[in-house]
Amino acid sequence: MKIVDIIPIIDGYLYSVMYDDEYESEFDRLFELWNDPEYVDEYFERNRKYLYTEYWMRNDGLNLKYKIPEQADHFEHKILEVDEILNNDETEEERSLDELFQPLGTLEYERTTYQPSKGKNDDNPFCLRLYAVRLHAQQYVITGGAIKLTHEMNNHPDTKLELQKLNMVKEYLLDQFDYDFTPDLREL
Amino acid sequence: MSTHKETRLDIGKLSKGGSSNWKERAKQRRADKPWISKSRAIAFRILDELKASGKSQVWLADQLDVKPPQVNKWVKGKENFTIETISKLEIALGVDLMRIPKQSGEIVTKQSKPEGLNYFSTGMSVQKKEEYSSLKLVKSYKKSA
Repeated sequence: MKIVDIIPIIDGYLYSVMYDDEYESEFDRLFELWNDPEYVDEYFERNRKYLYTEYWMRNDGLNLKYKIPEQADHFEHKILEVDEILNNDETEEERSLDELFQPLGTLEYERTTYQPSKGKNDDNPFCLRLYAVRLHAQQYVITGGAIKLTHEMNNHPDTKLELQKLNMVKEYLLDQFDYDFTPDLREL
Repeated sequence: MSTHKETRLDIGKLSKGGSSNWKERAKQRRADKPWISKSRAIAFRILDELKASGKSQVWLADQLDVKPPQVNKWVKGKENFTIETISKLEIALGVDLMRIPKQSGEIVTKQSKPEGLNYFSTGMSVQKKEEYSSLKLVKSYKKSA
């Protein structure tokens, strides 16, 4: 898997990687998939075993698939709102993308550069994820995303792959910006 | 003191010219939401019924005398179905895909309001509440006629 392009989603602020095995950016690809009942149905059929857990039994996991397109809609509307804020009202800039994305690690509270991050949908259960590298305040590069069915990313092949993509893009960005921005943060 | 805007990185320099039309697509999805939500629900129902009966999209295409790509469009939740298509799908699959609230005339024989009971505080289903509201409308219409 190679990075072939970094495509603007919200110019100057939010970008998305496009990989060589896809024909559109990760951001575009994911929202098309989450809005496709056939894909969602097949995904849940293929991942049925991950729904037989106490968590998903409590959270109606077997009916989760029907909620995915609606949740994707809400998530997309939230990003549209951020786009409107960033393009129309710079006084509100401080609380937009940095609210949409949080540090990937649950115990991380500080925002740093080249930080692996995640964006979630707003409605329960929060299973849609966009993964991104935070380059700077209000600047993110989306590396991928997933319908997250396990608590730990390493416990599902899809989210495990997303971790690898996050690291690959982080390294790529570190190389591209030649350390001149924050050389001391390479070890993050 | 520099602002975030002044110190922001030029990520655009990494772009090789690709673009996204997500805003147009998102705005269109938002505009179409009233019928797209129903179209997706029908898509899931078709997929569930095909799975439950062990039948394929090709089988369904054959039943409705359409080409398989047409069925595939239906299960992708982007079809603005006609009533005719829904009716044909219901017959082929043997299920209801859309329900229309019953005519008030039929309800009169099924529902009657118990004396002295607040009907809307008894945990009645939404459907029954609607049926009862229809009944009230019929009664008031008769009264004024």
